[in-house]
Amino acid sequence: MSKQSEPLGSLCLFFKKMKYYLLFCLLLCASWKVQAQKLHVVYEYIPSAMATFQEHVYFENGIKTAIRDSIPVKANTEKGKGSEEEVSSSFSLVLGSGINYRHIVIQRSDKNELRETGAVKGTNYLVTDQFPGLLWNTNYRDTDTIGKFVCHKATANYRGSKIVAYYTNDIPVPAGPYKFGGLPGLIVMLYNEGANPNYWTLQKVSYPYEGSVPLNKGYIYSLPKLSLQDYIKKSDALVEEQMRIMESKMPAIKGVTTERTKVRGTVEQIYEWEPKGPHEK
Amino acid sequence: MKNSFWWVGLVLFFFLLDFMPSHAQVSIRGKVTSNGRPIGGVRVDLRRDSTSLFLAYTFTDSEGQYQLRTEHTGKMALHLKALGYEPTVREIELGQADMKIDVALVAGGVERLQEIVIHAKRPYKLSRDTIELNVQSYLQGEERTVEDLLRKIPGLNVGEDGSIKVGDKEVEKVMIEGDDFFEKGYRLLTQNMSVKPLDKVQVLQRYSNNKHLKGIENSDKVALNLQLKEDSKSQWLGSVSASGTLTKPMFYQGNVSLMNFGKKNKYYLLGSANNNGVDAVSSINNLLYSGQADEPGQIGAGVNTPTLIDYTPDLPGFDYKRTNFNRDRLLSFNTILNPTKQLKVKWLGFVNPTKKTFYQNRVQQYNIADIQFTNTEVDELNKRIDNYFSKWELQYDIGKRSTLSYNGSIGSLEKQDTHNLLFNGSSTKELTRTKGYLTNHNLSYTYKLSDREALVSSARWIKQGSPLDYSIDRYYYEDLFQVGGISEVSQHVENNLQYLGFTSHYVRKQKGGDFMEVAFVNEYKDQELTTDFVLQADDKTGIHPSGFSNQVGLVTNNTSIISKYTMKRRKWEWTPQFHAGFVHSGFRTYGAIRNRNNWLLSPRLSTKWEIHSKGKLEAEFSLKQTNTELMDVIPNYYSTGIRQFVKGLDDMATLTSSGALLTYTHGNMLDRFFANLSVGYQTMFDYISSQSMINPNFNLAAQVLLKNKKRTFYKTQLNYYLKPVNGNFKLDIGADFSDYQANVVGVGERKIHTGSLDYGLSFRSVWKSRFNLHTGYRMQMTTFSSERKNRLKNTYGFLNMFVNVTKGIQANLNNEAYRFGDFFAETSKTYYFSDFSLSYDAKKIKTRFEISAKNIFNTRQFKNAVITETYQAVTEYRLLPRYVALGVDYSF
Repeated sequence: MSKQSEPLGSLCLFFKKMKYYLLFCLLLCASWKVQAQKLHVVYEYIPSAMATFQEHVYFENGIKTAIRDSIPVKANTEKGKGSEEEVSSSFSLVLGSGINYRHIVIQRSDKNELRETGAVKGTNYLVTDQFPGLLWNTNYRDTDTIGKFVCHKATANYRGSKIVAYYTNDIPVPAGPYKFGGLPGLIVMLYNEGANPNYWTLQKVSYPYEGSVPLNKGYIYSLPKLSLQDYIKKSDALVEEQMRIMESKMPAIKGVTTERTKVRGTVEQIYEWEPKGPHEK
Repeated sequence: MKNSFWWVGLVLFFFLLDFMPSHAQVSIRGKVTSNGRPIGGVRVDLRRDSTSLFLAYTFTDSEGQYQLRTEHTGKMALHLKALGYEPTVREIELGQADMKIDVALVAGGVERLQEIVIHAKRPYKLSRDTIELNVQSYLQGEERTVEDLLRKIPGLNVGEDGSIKVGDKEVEKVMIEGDDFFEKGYRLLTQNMSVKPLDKVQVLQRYSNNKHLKGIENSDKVALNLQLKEDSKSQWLGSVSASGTLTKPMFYQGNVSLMNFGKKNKYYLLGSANNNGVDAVSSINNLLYSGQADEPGQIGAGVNTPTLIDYTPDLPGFDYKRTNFNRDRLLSFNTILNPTKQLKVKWLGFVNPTKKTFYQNRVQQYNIADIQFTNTEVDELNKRIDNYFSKWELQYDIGKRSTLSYNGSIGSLEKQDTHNLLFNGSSTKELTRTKGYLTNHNLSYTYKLSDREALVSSARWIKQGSPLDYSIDRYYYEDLFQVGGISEVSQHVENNLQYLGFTSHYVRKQKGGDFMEVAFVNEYKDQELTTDFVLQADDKTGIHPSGFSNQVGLVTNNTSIISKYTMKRRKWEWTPQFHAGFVHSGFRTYGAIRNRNNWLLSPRLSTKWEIHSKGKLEAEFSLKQTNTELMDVIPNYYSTGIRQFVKGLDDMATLTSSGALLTYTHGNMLDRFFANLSVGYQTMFDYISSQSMINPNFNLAAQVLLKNKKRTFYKTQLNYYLKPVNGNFKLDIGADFSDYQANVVGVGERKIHTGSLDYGLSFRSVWKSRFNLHTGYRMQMTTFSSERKNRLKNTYGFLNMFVNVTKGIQANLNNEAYRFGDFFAETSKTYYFSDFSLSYDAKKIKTRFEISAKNIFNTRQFKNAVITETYQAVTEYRLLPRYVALGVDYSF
């Protein structure tokens, strides 16, 4: 399952473990149902060196709502972001829609299917994702102290990316940012391995949280609906067009050099319905 | 038959698999309550003891129910934990039977978690600048070289020439376990090193070549670091490639690289040979002349002895390889040693014996008032180059905050040019021979004063000697010297340089993200030039005509302060810069010394302004003062070729110029419409022009100091991506005008207006099909107007086609057409070139095969035309013939 787990004695044992994880995942799905009080967690989401967003996660009665702000956190002057902006300004792959929406993920513990919002060319959609679930490998002895928490390492393969998470056993809540969760404790830090890693780091935890989830359900459910596959098709078409526009402006010497398919700036590199790529090997 | 055995085996295997483990598992289930009410969301985990790893875990459902499965047996602890309840542990003994354990929890434990702000000191903060990639995740089993792997990594772009870019930024270097061999010549490594020993690839962003300047310097550099697997360290790896023709004419190219990278010692050996026009040394050229001028603490970049005679053919816009009849050989040995943690030693050495031959026929026409004549030259130029070069580097970390580094180089640079010339019908042998040496030493000390500021101090010493012997076995200058009976002409040159420079450079990053730099520089330069021009009489006596020999020395001591401040705000950026220096110069001619002291002031202001989301305006204003260099002050004539004599001002001067440049950028590469417009203006308040005495057999050019040369230039590039045809149209328009004066003896002062106009239109497709093309057309017009107007029009067209036949098989066909305007009543001619290549990457056997055909139309001559203020010329080059070569690359 992972290169870093103990050496597996035989293929037999491998299948045994596989079973164990699958079973455990199904159990988890059924278990998130009751959480007496609401938990509110704030993550810092860093999709690239250029921007940082806040992501609020609410967890209550088996429903997780993750809301990512549409506007980046003010540049952290201490780190001298000015230079980064300068470097990136002409090449950042930001789809220029003009309107920015919050990104919302609503995940129910007893269902695989989750809902999220997503925008293409300025139109916001309600997207249905048949979430494949996460098979976590927690067989690591690595621990790390992040903030005041002693954290344990876990890894999972998620849509073509290898996810590395650090969770704390001290907060026994199987929640995390974005679509991630299902570990023995709250996820404190998470990133995907790759040349464009996306990072989530925990900023704040409140429990019990008295406020309400800042969500206008009426608005969300009135949005035009799309399946994730259709949504990705739409947004990939837009990205691909921009990549072609860029490629067409580059000097061509010999052959076509850029592999357009690999330029997906998100955690998701390959979806279930797509042909397997190098990450799935 | 074989297949059915497989199936039976597989079914049996899965049957056993299902049968065996299911018996080994036991389940633990139960219900969790508090005060009789079920509690959901309680974590239930199983451990050997309280400190060990979880063997299994789950959370209770809304009914408080849980179920765990495990294959472990023996003494265990069942832990229950939830927010708002006291953690509870149950000791259990697991056997073969399933267990049911109900637990009642007591309220308490963690009841409140409030605003726990994590003041990280992000644990993976470094990761924002250092991205570590596990090589295994990207391997598909068919990668041969490091380059193949890098192509697979999202976010990295590898160009066809091997250049590696992260986004649009080319990487500075590719290191092995933190050690850098080749700086920007990293292709040598990435294209030859096998991917097998790699464990991790690190992308280092905002990289600083000086580690103490990391985060302080205003850096947007990127570098890569390759980490090796433990077991493959200290093993010999490498690659071999060879290609050649099977029939006459014989052309070949071969490369061998061998490398061994241990934790402490690293070695890299390279051998290369070819006769197909490729410049073997180009891959390591940058090592010879390294030293980036824009880095803090750098000094003495670009200091070398002036070149007096240079016959390298200049063919702008034409593939030089087509004219290069060569035999290149290169042998290079490189090593890096780390004797202790603090000390690093690097040594590079190479030998490059090369022969090149160029065949050129030149027709040169002068037509200025009464001066009208035509010269013809039929020239075979044989160049022999023998370079031996060695470079070493020592780096010692004195403490955490400071490093002392020393690098030095020594080289023997030998060059011999032999011209077999037919000048206006008479045959001549012209010989130029240089056997020079170069040594360059730099000592640098970096001290990091705090997290925001650092001081880099460097001292550099350069010593170079480039003696030259020049001779012509025929006498063309009877009209000039009024002496007869001369059989040979020669010139001996002593050309020496000694340089000593010191700098102390302070770099600071302000809290708001602004950058500040202050540098103090002192440079001492001592140059000597002796030229001895001799007419060898038939009776072997030598005549030294007066005014044609020099004995000159120029000593300069320049003390200057450079300050720079970059203010960065959201929409704009200002960078005022000021350079103030005081120069003492001593100019010696035949023992007499002239001294001069002067100030040099060069202020500059550059600014960037983001007008709106798509538009960016950049402007730069500068005033620049420089002093005349050695070659500008030479008092007497020296020879620079068969009919060229040049002399300088015989005095020192300060040249002042001012310039302004305005650039507007609309959109970026991702937009359908992307445009760049710039306009610039330059006034040279003082400039060096020439006064020429023109004769068919000689040209005496004396430099003169004049005032007010003006130059205006415009440049526009418009890109538009047209969706219906899936491709980008690019229109380039450029214009450059200047007005100045020059003198021709017998004609007088000439007001010269030059203009050049460029138009280009090209199209590049990005079709989804296997076939793609890039085509375009370019036209260039150059004019020189004085008493009359001379005009030249050159055009160029190309059509390049690419086909991805199937995975691993690629074909390219490149076609070019050149045409130049009517000259000397010759009808204009178009030259066609076509090259084809087909490659097959058999990645499974780590081998690449290629078949290539060069110069398919077998065009053997190519004519290139130039015009200058005094003459127009057409040069015809002989070209390498058509050939078909087969090639193979193998990595191990």
